[in-house]
Amino acid sequence: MSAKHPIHIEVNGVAHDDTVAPRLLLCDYLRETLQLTGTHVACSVGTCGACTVLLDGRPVRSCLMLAVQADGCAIATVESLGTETALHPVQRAFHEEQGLQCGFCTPGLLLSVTSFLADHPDPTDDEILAMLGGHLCRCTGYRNILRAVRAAAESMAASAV
Amino acid sequence: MSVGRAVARDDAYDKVTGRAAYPADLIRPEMLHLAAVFARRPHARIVALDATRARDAAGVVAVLTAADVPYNRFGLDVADQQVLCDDVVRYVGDRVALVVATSPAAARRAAALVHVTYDDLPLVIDPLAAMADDAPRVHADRPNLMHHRRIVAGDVESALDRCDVVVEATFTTSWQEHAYLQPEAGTAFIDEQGRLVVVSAGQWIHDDRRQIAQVLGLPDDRVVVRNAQVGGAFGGREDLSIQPLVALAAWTLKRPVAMQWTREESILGHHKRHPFTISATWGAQRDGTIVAARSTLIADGGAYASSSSGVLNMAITTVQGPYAIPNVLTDGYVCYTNNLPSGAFRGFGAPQGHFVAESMIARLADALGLDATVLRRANLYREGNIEPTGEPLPSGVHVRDVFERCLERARAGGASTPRRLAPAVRRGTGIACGMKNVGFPFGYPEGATATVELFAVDGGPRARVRTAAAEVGQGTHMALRQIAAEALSLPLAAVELVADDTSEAPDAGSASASRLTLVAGRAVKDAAEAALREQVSWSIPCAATVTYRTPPTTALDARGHGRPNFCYGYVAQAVEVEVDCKTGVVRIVRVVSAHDVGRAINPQLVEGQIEGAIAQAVGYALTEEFRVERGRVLTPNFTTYLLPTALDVPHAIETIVVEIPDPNGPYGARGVAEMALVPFAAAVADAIHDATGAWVCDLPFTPERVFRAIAATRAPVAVP
Amino acid sequence: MKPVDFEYAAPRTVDETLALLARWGGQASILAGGQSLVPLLVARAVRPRCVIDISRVAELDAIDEVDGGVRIGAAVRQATCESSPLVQRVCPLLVAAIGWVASPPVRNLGTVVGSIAQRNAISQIPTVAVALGARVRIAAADGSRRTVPAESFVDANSPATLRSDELVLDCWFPGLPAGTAWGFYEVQRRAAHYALVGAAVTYARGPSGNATAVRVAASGLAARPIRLTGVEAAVDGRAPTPLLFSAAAQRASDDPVLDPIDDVHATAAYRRAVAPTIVERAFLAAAS
Repeated sequence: MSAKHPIHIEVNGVAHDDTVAPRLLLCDYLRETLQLTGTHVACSVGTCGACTVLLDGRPVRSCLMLAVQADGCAIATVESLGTETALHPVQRAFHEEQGLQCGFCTPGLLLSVTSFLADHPDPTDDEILAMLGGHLCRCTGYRNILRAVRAAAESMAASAV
Repeated sequence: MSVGRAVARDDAYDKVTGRAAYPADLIRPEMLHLAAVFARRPHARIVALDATRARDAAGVVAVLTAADVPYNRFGLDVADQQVLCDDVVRYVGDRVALVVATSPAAARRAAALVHVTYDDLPLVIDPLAAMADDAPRVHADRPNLMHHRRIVAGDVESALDRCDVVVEATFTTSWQEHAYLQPEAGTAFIDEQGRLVVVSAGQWIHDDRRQIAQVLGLPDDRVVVRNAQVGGAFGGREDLSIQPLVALAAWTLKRPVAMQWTREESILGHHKRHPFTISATWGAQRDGTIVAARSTLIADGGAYASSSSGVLNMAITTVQGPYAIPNVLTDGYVCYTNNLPSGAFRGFGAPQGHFVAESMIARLADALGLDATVLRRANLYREGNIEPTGEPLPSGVHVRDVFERCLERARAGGASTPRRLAPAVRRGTGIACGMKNVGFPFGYPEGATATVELFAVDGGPRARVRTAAAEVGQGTHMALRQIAAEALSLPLAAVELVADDTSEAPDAGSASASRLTLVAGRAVKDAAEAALREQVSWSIPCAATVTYRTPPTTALDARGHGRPNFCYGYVAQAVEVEVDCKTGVVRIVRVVSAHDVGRAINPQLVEGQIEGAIAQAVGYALTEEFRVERGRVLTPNFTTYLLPTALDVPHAIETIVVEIPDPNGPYGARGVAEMALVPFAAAVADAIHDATGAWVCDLPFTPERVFRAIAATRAPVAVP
Repeated sequence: MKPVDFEYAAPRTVDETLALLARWGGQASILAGGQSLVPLLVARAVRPRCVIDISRVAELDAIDEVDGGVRIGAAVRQATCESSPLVQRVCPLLVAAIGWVASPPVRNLGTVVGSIAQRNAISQIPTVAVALGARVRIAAADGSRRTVPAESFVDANSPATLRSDELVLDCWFPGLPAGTAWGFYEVQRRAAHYALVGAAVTYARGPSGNATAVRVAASGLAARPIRLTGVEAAVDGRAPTPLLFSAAAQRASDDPVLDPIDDVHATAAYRRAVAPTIVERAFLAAAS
């Protein structure tokens, strides 16, 4: 049995000090060790995007990362969006525009979208689609997802004014 | 007014916050964890199974084998599958042992230590070869030919002799993987009342319960099946998969257990859409009257029967399309092979049948020198037409309505002006229409039961609806609440739905056959109305339970006659493609999809079903190629099996919802879930032909296939 | 599937990294972005005894303008490179190629050098490295260093290729002089997926307007990205017109070095047949 490795990770603003096996995947650390089950594992080869979390603000595939690689980093999962009483504008847009059906791909997608809109507050459809290319959805056909991203961009721009 | 409103679905809140609990999210570390030993070979006899090293491994509590299964036979239709194989493995996904351990890692490590000695058996990998007298048998006790069904109407042979034009072609379709994003997972435990509780994701919790109880030798009421949040189904959760494994372990060890499959295990371990090879010969008169259609269909049923009977029936009844053809001879065969079992997948044989029917229309039009629209108008079904199965179509034949509406919108042009095309890229348009049954067909008992309880809370009226309709993402829970609210004249917020527990809700039938809105919806509406009739006042709680039974259907006799369905939904699609003639890459640029939905209970949900089905249809037509060679899967993950991304589905999708009330549906609602998958591949093939002059007959239309088809026509591609 | 058990080390310097490589004697894997390595670990296709994470080695995390080109350290993420104004100015072809790699989250972790070190036959970055004549700098556990052309480095059969106790320090991409035409094109089965066949092209324009210093590299046509010298020769010294490109690109399908990949996505015959079209389109992209 290999030596466990200490890690210090901030997850959704909460600091965690843990000792983990090097081979523990980040997605499993989040889901099993921290019991944050909002991040989903669907393909395990980094293609579908369901496992996407934010690492120091950038979207990454948590199924393609070892937890030890995130030592010293800040992770945000879907549970970090919104508050107890209010949804984040991106969550609200997906809710209102029905940018989901079964919802399994949704958490990873929301995080990518949040990060994307921070960099592209007024995105073109082509820019949105290029970002969405990294997220597979088997239910919606993507059109409501595109609508939801546009709606989120508009509502965030409106409240930023 | 609830019905007809695009109300935001109420489960969206939990889904956007990550609070929604899918089966794997309910796994607790203190449960015992399971890992299956898969056969990973397509046909072999188990000579010996040695689990000694596995049992001795760290953390292992037990290794279960076939001997531990009280009644080791199950299946949706034919009980030809085993929970754990005892003698022969028939496809790579068969399970032979189940390891139970204190952690998932320990279970998987130990699974690798189970040593199985196999004697490989001769492979049966082609359904046509499987029918030969001397072919090796997949199941020793029965022939490889599962079913041969035929439909005979009129006299096809002499009719073909009389025809002015006869067209022949052969088509092939491939497997399709459901690829619901949530891989199989489940937990099971014994509750305080001594009942076995299984929590997973299924399309029909009552039938899952029936099969699980049978396997364990328990009465139905000792077993409770619950659905957690279901991450997509599309027909892929119609058969049992992980459920009998967690049930067996929990019941045997009397401890809570958990299991989750990897994507690769999911792909290996559950059924696929049936591949078909279909030869068709159609004949017509010069004036465009289609006189005769002869078809031979051969389907690969894989290792176990699953829904093969129903899919074959669906394919043979749709292979001549929605046309009034007086002379029909159709022979359909489905065979056992050592490939993955084939079973239910959204469309259920109709996509395969329509790929042929609508492609034959295009070829016939071409041979006649007629516009395909003229040909369709001359032959499309009308109210009262007789099906080849001998009886009049169920009332509400709206194929002409959707066809004309689709055509009109397609000709009106897309919203944006077409961009300038690169050299060697050709644009083409295609059209196809179709029909798909709503509800269980061919005499299968069809109905749903709902209970509606009326009561008051703090003086305010409330209702609780109980019906076990599975929410698999399609929004059925929302739609059923809307129907109840409408019938009870209550606001939506006052109506609660209890659905996901066999001990708390009555049987609604499966989430399949586009049936829940119509069948469970009628049960809910009728129960609500019955409850209101029972009611004295809101302050006195009352309840009513109604089982809605649909109009009867029958099995088909030896000549294929009977009443296959009580309801059809109709669809027409126009597709615009761009084909890069030098690479074979096809882009779908625009889709117009017209649907006869009866009544849109929730227009947003209806549109979601159409758009979602179109994306799966894009995959079926272009990107999704499920490859199996000598019984082994070459595409076991999402880097090899390619689902369409947002960049692969057309920007311009126009849905046309035609609302002509269905005679049986609640508020006239019909069904829409599968419809958009039915004609799509044929519409794309038609568009590719329009663009390039090449006929494509083999699904999916990969760049290589299209490239070769274009080369074969030697159609010159002029470079300006 | 979970990876097999392994030790993990996160060195802070190149020297520490090399010492670890020496200690583990060829049974260690270098982890940079992990986008290639982690799936291999999960599938148990590789079973290292130690995984050495170089993402915290500051020396390897630099992008420097050097010798008229740009040197990209082994720990530099693809996304960082993609958005670097320096790289965009000096070597825009590399930026364009990175944009074709997978999807943004994968590029946020994956490294430029990692993509080359993986010797992936179809990856865009190694293809561009071969087209440009990039050079890979390697350090060995014993302290020695060597620099090899990317073209040899990606060839698993070449002595230049990476040995199990070596670390790639960086890859130097030559700058594209002002006026250089460059183009990249690929054909995919589906968006955001691998190329079936890809081509990267550069050429300079001589005083008469003719193409000079023509370089063409293609992916999918062999077990590694390859230079198409027959095509290069057919374009070199001639006026770069669409007609010339079309004619010259025909040489792509019968270049003797071709041994196209045959896999579930396409056959070797298809890849060979479309190769001229892909090469021609890369040239057209360069010329526009």
